[in-house]
Amino acid sequence: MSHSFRVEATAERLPEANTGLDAWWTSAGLPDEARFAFELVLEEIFMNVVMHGSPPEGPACTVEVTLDRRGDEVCMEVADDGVRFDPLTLEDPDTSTPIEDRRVGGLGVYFVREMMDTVHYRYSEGRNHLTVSKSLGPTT
Amino acid sequence: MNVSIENTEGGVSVASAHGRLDFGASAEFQKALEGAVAAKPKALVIECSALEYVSSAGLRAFLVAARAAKAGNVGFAACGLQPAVKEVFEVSGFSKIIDVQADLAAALAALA
Repeated sequence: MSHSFRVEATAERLPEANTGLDAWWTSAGLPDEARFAFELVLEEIFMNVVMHGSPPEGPACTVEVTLDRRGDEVCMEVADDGVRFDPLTLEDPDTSTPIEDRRVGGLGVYFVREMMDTVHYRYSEGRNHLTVSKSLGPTT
Repeated sequence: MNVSIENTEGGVSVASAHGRLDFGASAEFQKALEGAVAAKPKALVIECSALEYVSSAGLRAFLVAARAAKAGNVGFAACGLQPAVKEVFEVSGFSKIIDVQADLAAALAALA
């Protein structure tokens, strides 16, 4: 059964989003060591919405996180009612650049791609939906 | 998240990072590291054995500090990375631009 929660997209609310994920993870009895990738990916997507999703003058948009377990796979959807934007159109950063020229911009979305097995974007009913999933490996 | 900085007898500063280095913690962490570099030690080692989590915002702080260290001719290394933090360093390519050592003893030996 899936679980959803909503958080206002502001930097101050990031811990609340993380707490929502942790609470579900624990109640679902999932292994601790697999949680990190989802915590990281949720922060990166959430902060992307905080930085770019809300119109400069308007109120902050709202993020809705939906978590689900399907067999050995965890699925997480992050939906927001902010500015329409597909983060998967961003180019990967060059991770071989020397230190003087290295940029951190774009690294967040790169993490989303690299840490998850699947990543999909769609825009529907006025909301961005980024859906990710990752296998937890064979369960014992 | 908190960071404490100690100076060793060999002139190396050791910054011990504890907890979660997320977006909210990154600005303060960066400021602490920049302050440590500005004090011109021989080298700065970031001891990460109690660092549980780092995101791209946290990596930015490492990058800014490492760059300032390089510009100021201060040695720079990170050590004691937990598996999750190590994975972030590797996926981002940061383990190629920042000297990552197994533990504090190895880091101090490498910077001696």
